[in-house]
Amino acid sequence: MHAASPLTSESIDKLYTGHHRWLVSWLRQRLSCSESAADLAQDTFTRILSARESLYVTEAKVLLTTIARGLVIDHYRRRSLEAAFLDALALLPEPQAPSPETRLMVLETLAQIDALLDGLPAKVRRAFLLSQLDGWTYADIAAELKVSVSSVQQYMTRAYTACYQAQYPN
Amino acid sequence: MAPRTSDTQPDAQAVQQAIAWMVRLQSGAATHADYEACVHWRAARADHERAWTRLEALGARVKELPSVLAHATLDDSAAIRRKYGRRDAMKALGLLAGIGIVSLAGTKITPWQTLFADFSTGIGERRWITLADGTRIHLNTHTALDARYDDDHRRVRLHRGEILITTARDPSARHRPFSVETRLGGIRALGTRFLVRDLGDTILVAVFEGAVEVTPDGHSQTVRIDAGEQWLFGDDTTRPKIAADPDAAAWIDGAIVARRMRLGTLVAELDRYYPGKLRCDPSVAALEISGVFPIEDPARVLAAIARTLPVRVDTFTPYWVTLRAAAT
Repeated sequence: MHAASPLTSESIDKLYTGHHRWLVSWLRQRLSCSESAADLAQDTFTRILSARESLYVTEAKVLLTTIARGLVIDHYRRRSLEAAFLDALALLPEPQAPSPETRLMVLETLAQIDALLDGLPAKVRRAFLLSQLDGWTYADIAAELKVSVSSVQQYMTRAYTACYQAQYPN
Repeated sequence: MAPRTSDTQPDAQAVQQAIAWMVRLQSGAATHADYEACVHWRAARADHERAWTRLEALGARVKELPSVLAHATLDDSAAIRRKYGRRDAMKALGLLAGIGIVSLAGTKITPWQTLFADFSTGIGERRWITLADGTRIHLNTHTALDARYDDDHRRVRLHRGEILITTARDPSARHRPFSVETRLGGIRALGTRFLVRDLGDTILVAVFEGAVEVTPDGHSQTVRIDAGEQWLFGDDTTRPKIAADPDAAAWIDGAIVARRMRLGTLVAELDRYYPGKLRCDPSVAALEISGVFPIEDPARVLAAIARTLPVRVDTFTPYWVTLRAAAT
């Protein structure tokens, strides 16, 4: 049934040789540093390669910019997460701050959790984190957020459902 | 990337129940009997235990984080992106319009001048315009609007179709409000990027940045839609706001992004860009498909779909094309 996959490896090769330089300059116009432009161009092709069975776009530039656009947003998103992380780190008293060696790991996990919670409203995110990180009861969370306990239950259900679906998309 | 787990995938009901148990046990008000009942439930089916283990693993990853740092970075991602340069991304992608007086179709326009302007696209056509204050509007296929700016208001009237608006700050000192009038109600922008689509019976509003206030016709109350939310209004049903589909505006790049979309929905979307009539036989409408599809050439997309799904393209005339179940 799944006979021909629309994008073959050869067509991706062609896409790469024909448009790689164009894509890097497209990205360079949208990013401040040319190093990330090269990285994101590479990521774009990696994504296309791994998703080629579900890609039907034959107009090269449409395909490339659609995927690259998502990566540019991710890139800036990651940067703002890092900036918030560094600000928060600077405010932490020394003993509470993670050691320099573990900082990168913490940041990595933060980015992953951020992706899992993507799209959830602030109250839902906060309720979920207060419960998971700090072990607060729903009654305490309800008082903190000035909502009812049953709202907190709904928030928790929503957060778990979103995390689950993000982690296991099928 | 999630690991491939198709062989051990717990069914949706097991996942739902596991979430309900998790939510109950973590409430701080669970009894001993609750814990026992949960243990019982987990042992009842292998699927239950699998769903439970997955949820526990998700929670464990959150729990390993230092609390203060996690709250500071994760509590309100929208606020963080506002503060630390989400605008950079938008600007980089050309989604934030500049501010200033620009010429429109060769005519120099001052923002204080009363202005009537008509813009439209035909089927399969897309274009964008920049209004006198720098507000940018993308028009999707088969769309018509007029823009009217006067001393007190910046108004856009959507007659049909779909638009993506990126408002600019009003260059005049008056801070004139910006609003979109639709057939079924008004939308007031609060410094923002948003999409409006006339679906016939309803109007869809999706907000990507900032916020809007919607006043459906016949209502006095306004409904606020924040960034990341979308809402359908205009008929009698009251619907909840839901998360905005981030791919809803992919058409400005010439693409439809389908994530497990019903084939019937995809064909209806493609039909909007096709000068003839594209239809999908109800017997195959429920098939699911994922992918990024160009909107420039719907006929070719159909041919590609026919190579992947068990359907065939039935071309009655070039203007009347139907997807049907493949002959067995």
